[in-house]
Amino acid sequence: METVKKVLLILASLIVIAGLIMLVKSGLNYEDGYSKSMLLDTAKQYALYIGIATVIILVYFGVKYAKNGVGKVIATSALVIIGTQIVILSITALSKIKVNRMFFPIALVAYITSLIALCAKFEKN
Amino acid sequence: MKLKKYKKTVTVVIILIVALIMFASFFGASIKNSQGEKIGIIPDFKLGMEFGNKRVITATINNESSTVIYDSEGNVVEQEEGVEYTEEAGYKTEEIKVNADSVRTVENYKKEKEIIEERLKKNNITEYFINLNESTGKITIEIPENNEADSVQETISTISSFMLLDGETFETLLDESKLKEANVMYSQGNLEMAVFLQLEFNEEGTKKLQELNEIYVESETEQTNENGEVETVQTSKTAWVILNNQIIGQTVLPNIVYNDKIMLTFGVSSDNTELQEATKQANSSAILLNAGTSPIVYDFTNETQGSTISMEAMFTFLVCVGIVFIAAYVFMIIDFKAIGFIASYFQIGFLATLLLILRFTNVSITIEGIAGIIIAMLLQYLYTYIVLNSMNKEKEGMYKKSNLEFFLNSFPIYVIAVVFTFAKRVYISSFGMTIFWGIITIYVYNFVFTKFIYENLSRRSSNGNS
Repeated sequence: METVKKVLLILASLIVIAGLIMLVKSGLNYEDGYSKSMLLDTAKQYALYIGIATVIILVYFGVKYAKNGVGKVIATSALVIIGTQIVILSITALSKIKVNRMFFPIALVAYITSLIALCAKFEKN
Repeated sequence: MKLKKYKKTVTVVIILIVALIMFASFFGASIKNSQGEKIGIIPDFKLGMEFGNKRVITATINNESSTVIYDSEGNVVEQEEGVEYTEEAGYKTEEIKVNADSVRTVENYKKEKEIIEERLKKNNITEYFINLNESTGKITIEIPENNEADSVQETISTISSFMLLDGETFETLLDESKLKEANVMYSQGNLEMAVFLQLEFNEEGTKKLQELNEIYVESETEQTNENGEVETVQTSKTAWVILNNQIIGQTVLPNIVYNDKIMLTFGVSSDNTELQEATKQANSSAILLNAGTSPIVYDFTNETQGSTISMEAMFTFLVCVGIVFIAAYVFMIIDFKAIGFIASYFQIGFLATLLLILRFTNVSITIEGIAGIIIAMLLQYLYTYIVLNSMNKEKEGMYKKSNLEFFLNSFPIYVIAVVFTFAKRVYISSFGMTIFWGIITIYVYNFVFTKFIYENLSRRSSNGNS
């Protein structure tokens, strides 16, 4: 199990590195009628609400699972949340999937899935 | 024995009620009216813009220009037919663009986009997409093609302006560049109410208005008539009032200036309908002025386009999601056998219940809303799994413990649902609202329908084992 985890972690790191290089080099592949400015505009609309929700959730995790170390819990949570989004972005950049309005719902589902996984992990510990 | 029979009856009734809910949700329910026509009693889904027709309004920079001819002394010459205005004859021709090159900057393009967004927000229009092409300045706005589309389009394309012009020379005395704020005000008389648009100016504008208020007035002068008699004659120096490119009228300023602010009357009436209409127009004008004026002149065109997402694409997507859930239910059946099968039945019942609730609460279903429904289904699956796993432990309060475990595992989702519900943009609030109702439905649905079934299955299986 530990080996599988390590392999998955290495694979994810490689995907992230390759994806970020591709992102910087050639950007995302946008569908007709969708553009970078629309993506950034939509991201700005989400930023406030995601920010508020994430802060509340991190504070909740820090208080609820304080026994595991507040700093460690918050750092792990932040890393998992941000890491999931970076992986989604990297896969999108690498695979050249056409980016359209579906991008944000997919990112939201990934965000929520990462939160459920974090909760389950902390509860188990 | 009686208790066993009662439990069986209740179980059957619960299963039948859930079946009824599924039928109503997936196939609809209707009643016949007095004319014998079928009328649906369940409201339709309120679908987002991407599932229906949309109006695409395109704002492009006006590239027109006008030709102005100057004579050798620099005076503007009115063009006459048959006359050649050449340089040799001492004339100078200049092409004046509606939009000079100096205003065609990215900052001004962004300013126009912000003005349009401000107008949409202040008019409580929450469902729109706006896209700016920074290289050409072209702005594309997408709105739902519905009853309000025409008025929204007018809101976007109306040029906002305010001008006071001299009544004779048409010289601009005051304009919107000095405007601080526009507000709608009311005044209640004995019998009627008046609706005003109040224009408040900045320090410079207020000072200018005070000066103009002394000049553009009615005055009395003494004149000698034909008979040699001195008589008093009333004269007035008036100003034209132009609001949002429409001529409001010509008047002396004391008629419209009160407390160093301009008050334009939009309606005086005792009729509520007329007052509401006057208030609506005054509000609309206030919003246009407060949003600001763009330095660039745009041309607006519009067209209606079909839905962004085809029904085939949506169907394919839902089938894929369905296959994933079916695989999850098969896994549940393999793991928990007969109980897993019953649990899968109630999973589908949950989806039917949630969809009914979303229809009755008039929640907008956008792509993000569908993602919210999928997450609610995931949470319901998680809840059921926790309950089924706890079922074998014949401890007091097994159900309460399962509820607590589920709550602790999914608390962050409640935070997201509540925070997103307050968003103004429809596609964000749709996500929050669907999860919000999904969470409430999980607790209520499971308490009402599945708690009895699972508890009795749990007791029966433990009695069977002993």
